[in-house]
Amino acid sequence: MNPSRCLGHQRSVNRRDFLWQLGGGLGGVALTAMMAEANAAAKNPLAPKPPHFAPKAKAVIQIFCPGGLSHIDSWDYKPELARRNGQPFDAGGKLQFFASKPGSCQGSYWPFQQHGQCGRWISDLFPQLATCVDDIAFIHSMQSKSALHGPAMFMANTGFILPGFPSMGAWVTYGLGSESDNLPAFVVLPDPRGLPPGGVINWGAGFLPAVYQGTPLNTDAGAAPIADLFPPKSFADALASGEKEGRELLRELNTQHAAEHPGNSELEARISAYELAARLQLSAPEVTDVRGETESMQKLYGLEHEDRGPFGRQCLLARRLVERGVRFVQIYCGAENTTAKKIRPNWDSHEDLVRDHGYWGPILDHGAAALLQDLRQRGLLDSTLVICTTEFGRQPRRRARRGGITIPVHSPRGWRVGGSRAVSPTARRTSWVSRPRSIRRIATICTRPRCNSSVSTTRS
Amino acid sequence: MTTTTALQALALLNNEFMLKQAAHFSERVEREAGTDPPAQIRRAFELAFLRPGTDTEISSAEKFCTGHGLAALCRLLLNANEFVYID
Repeated sequence: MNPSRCLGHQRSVNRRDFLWQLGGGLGGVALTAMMAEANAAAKNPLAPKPPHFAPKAKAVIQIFCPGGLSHIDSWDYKPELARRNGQPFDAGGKLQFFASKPGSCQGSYWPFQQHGQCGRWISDLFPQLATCVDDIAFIHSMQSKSALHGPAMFMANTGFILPGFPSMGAWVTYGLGSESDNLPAFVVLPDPRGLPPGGVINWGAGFLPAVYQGTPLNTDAGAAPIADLFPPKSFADALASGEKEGRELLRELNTQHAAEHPGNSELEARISAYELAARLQLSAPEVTDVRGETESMQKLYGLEHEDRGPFGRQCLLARRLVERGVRFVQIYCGAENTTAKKIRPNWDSHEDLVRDHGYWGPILDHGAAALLQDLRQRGLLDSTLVICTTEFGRQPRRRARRGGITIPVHSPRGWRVGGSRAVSPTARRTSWVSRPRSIRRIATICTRPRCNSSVSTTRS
Repeated sequence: MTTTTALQALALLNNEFMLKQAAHFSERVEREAGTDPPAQIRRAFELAFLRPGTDTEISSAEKFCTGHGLAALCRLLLNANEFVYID
């Protein structure tokens, strides 16, 4: 197979050649032909693939709010709970509590108003998104299987509480391939404050080939969009002149090596990875440079605002990526779940919900509303599905120890807009007493008689 | 190290640690093979791939080295599929 390898060596044949010769003859020829076919199919694992059904949506933008964006204080109107504000909270004595004893019932800290033609009730925490309600479908039936942040993040992103499963973006990329030659199909825009709970596994490929995993871009304005995009300054000058010839020589070495190892799709995939890396050196700085956007566009996203600016920039980047053919963009509105003296770095408002939701609410409200408006203006909302999800809601009560403080618990929920929106504006409702801590507890709750006949209980 | 993403390619190409290792690699080659460029290239292939380079490989590599230096070649060898995957 490769005589050059044998020259000057003690061993006369390598392992691969030996096995080929051992099983040689016609079987070997047939096998080689089959491997070559499989190899050709695997050459570009990101080639676009036709779906089984013609889709309306071409791209997905998912806004993920790590921590607990409280459903009670956002889009899940609960007049019965408001009526019971301050009354003793009685969930039947069967609930176990995580970090505190239950205090009295606590409805939304923000009043609700009706908005849009649909008359949807939205809390005053989201005045700008409230203007978009006629485009939004709200899904209230989602729930988690874990009360802990890492597993709950994995649950929301992969459908399983254990790590090791592909994220939604990885599945989409695996199933449909990439529409963009110059950018990855699945791009992640983490909060510039840091990674979400669980870290990079949230956009991992799990057991799928690694080529389908999400590519995170650094969203910190002024920083390089990708680590190691170029050599560090200390090496840059020495290497600059040879980059093009170097890529050609590397390709020559790798192509020859791959020809000697038919049937190994990873070798081809790695050659493609180096080619995409070279194209990223041009495309990543271009897509993340928002200076070319008009002044009104920069104003729409609030780029200059100290608190809202970073998330606004993430949303603007998402639009720019989708415009350039990226299929799945995930934006994180919030970072790791740690306590902070001033504001929690994500939506997990354990100490002071009014303080922390009061901070994060306007950030999400402004950026997401700007994104929807911008996509609509450009005609992209017809082909772009926008999803907003979180890890948990909160329980309908305060902590017993100190009044006025609620503990958020625990079911993912969200809304979606555009693209192939097919569900009714409000798919399901939760009971006034939702959200318990685990799926088992949800089942316990659901067996109780409803406390408010106007709403149905959550699905268990 | 068997992932096939563009980010891994960039890390192996441009991360400071990898570039320092490439520089150390080229110093070792110079130490062991002397100043003769073809001898250096032959030694670099032996060390990286545990086999002698073919005539075509040596010739392409020599052309590259003349313009861009031995350390740049060593960087490429550390990025080659044959180095990354053990057959």
